[in-house]
Amino acid sequence: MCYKNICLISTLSLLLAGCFGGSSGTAAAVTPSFLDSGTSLTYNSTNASTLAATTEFQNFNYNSTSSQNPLEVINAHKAYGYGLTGAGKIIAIMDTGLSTTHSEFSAKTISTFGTLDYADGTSANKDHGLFVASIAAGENDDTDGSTMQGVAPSANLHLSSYNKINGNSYFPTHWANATDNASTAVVQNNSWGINYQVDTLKSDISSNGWSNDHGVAQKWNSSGYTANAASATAYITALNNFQDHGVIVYALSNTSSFSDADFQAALPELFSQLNEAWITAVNVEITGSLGSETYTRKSAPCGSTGSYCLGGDGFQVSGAKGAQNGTSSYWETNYSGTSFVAPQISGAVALLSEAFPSHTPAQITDRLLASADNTFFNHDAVVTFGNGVSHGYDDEFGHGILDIYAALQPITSSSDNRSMSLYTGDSINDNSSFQFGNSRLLTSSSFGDSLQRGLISEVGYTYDDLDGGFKYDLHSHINPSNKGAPSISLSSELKSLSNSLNTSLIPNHNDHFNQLAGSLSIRDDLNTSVTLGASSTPVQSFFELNSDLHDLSNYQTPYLEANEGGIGVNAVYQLSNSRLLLGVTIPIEQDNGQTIGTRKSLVSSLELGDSLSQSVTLMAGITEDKDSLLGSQGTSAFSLEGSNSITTFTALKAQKQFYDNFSLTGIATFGNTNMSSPSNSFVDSASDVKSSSIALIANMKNLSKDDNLSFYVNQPNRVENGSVAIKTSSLADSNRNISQTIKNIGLKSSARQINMGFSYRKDLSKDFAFSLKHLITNNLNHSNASSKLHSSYFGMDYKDLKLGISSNPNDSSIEKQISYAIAL
Amino acid sequence: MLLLYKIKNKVLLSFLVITLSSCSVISEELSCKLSEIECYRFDYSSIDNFKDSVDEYSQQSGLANPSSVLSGFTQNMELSINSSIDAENLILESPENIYALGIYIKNNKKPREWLFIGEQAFLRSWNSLSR
Repeated sequence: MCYKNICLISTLSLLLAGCFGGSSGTAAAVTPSFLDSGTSLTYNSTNASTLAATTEFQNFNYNSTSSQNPLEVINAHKAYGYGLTGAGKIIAIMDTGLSTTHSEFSAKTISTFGTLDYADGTSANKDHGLFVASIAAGENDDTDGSTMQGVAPSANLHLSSYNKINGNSYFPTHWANATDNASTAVVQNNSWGINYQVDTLKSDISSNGWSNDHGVAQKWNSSGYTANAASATAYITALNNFQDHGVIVYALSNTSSFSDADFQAALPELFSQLNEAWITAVNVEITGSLGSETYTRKSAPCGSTGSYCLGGDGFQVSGAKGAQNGTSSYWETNYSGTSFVAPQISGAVALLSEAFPSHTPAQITDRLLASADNTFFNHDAVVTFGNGVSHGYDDEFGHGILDIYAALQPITSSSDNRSMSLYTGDSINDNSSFQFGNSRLLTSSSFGDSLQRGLISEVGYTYDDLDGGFKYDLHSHINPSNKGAPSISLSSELKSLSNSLNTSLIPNHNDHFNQLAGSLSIRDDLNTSVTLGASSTPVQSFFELNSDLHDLSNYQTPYLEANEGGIGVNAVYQLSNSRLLLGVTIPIEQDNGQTIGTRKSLVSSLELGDSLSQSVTLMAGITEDKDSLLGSQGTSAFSLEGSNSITTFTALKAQKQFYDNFSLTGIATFGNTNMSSPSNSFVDSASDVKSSSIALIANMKNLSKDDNLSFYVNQPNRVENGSVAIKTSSLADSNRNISQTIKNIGLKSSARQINMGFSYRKDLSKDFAFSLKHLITNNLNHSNASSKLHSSYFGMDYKDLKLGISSNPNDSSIEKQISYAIAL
Repeated sequence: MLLLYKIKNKVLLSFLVITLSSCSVISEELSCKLSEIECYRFDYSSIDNFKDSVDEYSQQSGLANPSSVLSGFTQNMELSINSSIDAENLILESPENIYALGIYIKNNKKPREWLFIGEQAFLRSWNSLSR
């Protein structure tokens, strides 16, 4: 078709690929939405909104016309969407005017310490502790007369009175004993304190030469609460010890004219050892509709406690009232103060303790502070909590308004939740940390969906930057092969029409191997050679087929793929009616440090019979692959780096020609693979992974002169059984330790991929030929999720004109091509 | 001889009981000698001076406004106070008796610590720490 060896091919190509849309590349996508499920929980928005609409929830807000419901502002209802109620957690309340008999607490376990100061049912002031406790843990139970509910309705209570001395000489001694007694509480709520600024007390201490213990004891004395320095020390020690198991919440003074926090809420400013799990509560009235809120401080500012201060709306709220042992279904409305913000925070601590059972009180505190809404004011400074998580605060509103829902979400220094961490070791302190979003195992098509199916219902934990553990489905990190169905290359088919029709049914034994680097010796009966970057010669010879429907890639036998070969030494020994082939390949490192090939292999084959009439080939060998398992690749926490996969395999090929124009070829491969442990991965090992492939090909020639018809059916390599051991990890405990369990995941794909097809070519004359093909793929990648896929082709070649059309099975697009060669 | 021995033992036992009794009234820890304990913060020289001293002390210490408790003080009252507990209970029941208690402690030379405990109850009666 060329003239004077100078050809200019003018190709008019109409590539109408858009008939049915574009390509269907299937990216391995992480779906961060699962993170909405909190630690181990599933979020149900209907439950949240249903609860928010209940009478008791609504009753908490006294002035519903001008204010949003404070419980809704802090997203307490969304905690219920996760099923969190504070169940099993104890909230310690140190207060006055307490009750153990109110209907708001009817289902609770209530423990007490010392003599209690009981509510008398006359007012919220006289029933202060009852009112406070109901905000922290009041039950949602309309049977009590439809009163109100608190933040953690299922939490239990530990009650003590700060105004009872309980036989001691000094009140702080009693406070210390009461604090010690609440030894299993997750939070202690303190809605009380002396209205005296901490900066003023610091000046008093400095000017009088007092110790800090002496200073605070002097202030308690001055308000009638007898104290000495030693008892103050005991109380400080108790508060410090409490933080080993619970958070201290202290209400700030309600004196809005204060320029600093009161000393009692700000005790960590005097005793730095207390600044571990301590939150101060500022009262902020929030008016206006959602999105157009106005924030007004109604209490003393956070002042010097700003870095550990949280806000809430404790203005005009409702709570329980009623005398101890009296009528217990009363409730009181329209009371305001930091006293009623603190229990909102205390309830939130109970909810988070339930959600993050391994968190320390300090970690719970950090989560609440770092997730608060601080968008409505300018920040004076920033707290960096660790791992790059920072949060702005100021001396008026602290870190802003408590947001329980945000605290239940992953908190990361990046806006991308996929930056969370996976730990493959036995601790979240160790160096084996991997990015969650980058960690996945890309299984080859041989595995189908078997590993992914085997991991359904298995879970792991990923950790945010504040060490919050969140459950995720392990199977979501296994990406089965998305290899497309066999398709037809229109340009290749049209190009092949220019070639003359192949007239042999079965090829001769291959003596021309790919990528030969040189021959070591050539004798009549022995030929030794070196290959580079190719399969060994036994493998090349085995897969040499006389069919344009097939090549090695159809079998998807990862342990035999050509491009993994390094340098190879091969020998072909010719026998009388057969030949023996041997080949060894090993990876080879180049001068530039790059390595050719990744596989070691030792393969032999025995080719028996006359290749032109009938022959049988037996092949066996062993291969070793590094850092992969039957072509599967892992990344980050699912890396296969450091592993060795040993595959022993056998293969059989039988070819027979019938008559002059018909031949049959059958091929089968069987492999058994074991993989050793990668160096640092959730993938532990693989055992007895058995895989196989099979194919049958029929060729017919000259049915009507100068034509060729082929049929084939095959099953690409498929893992039939075996197991992969995967490490599943528990949620880290409070000491940050993780226990690992190795689970053997049985491998069984949901389906078996079968490919079928035929091709036909007819040369009508020297200048005119046409061909057609049709391929069918069922259960692509051994998965029943795939529908039956079809691919068709028709093309013709008349002199210099080529016309062709084909369909792509993977995206259903249609390709058309017309080309015409012009000789210059 | 035996009789004298029994009398001596009874005397010693009585002395011991009295001693222990007095110790239980005021804990060893609570003493006006402690610098944190302000035993002489109010002026009991007259009712007016007492009111003024309460008012002044409240301002200095950042306490609640005492105006609601500065009227109706009992000035003449028959009292029998034998311990700090008696003093505290008296004031817990009727805070307006604080001035009368002060006069009683002063006139009867009772331990000043007993009055301090009464004063503490008086201060707590109108200084709720609840927020």
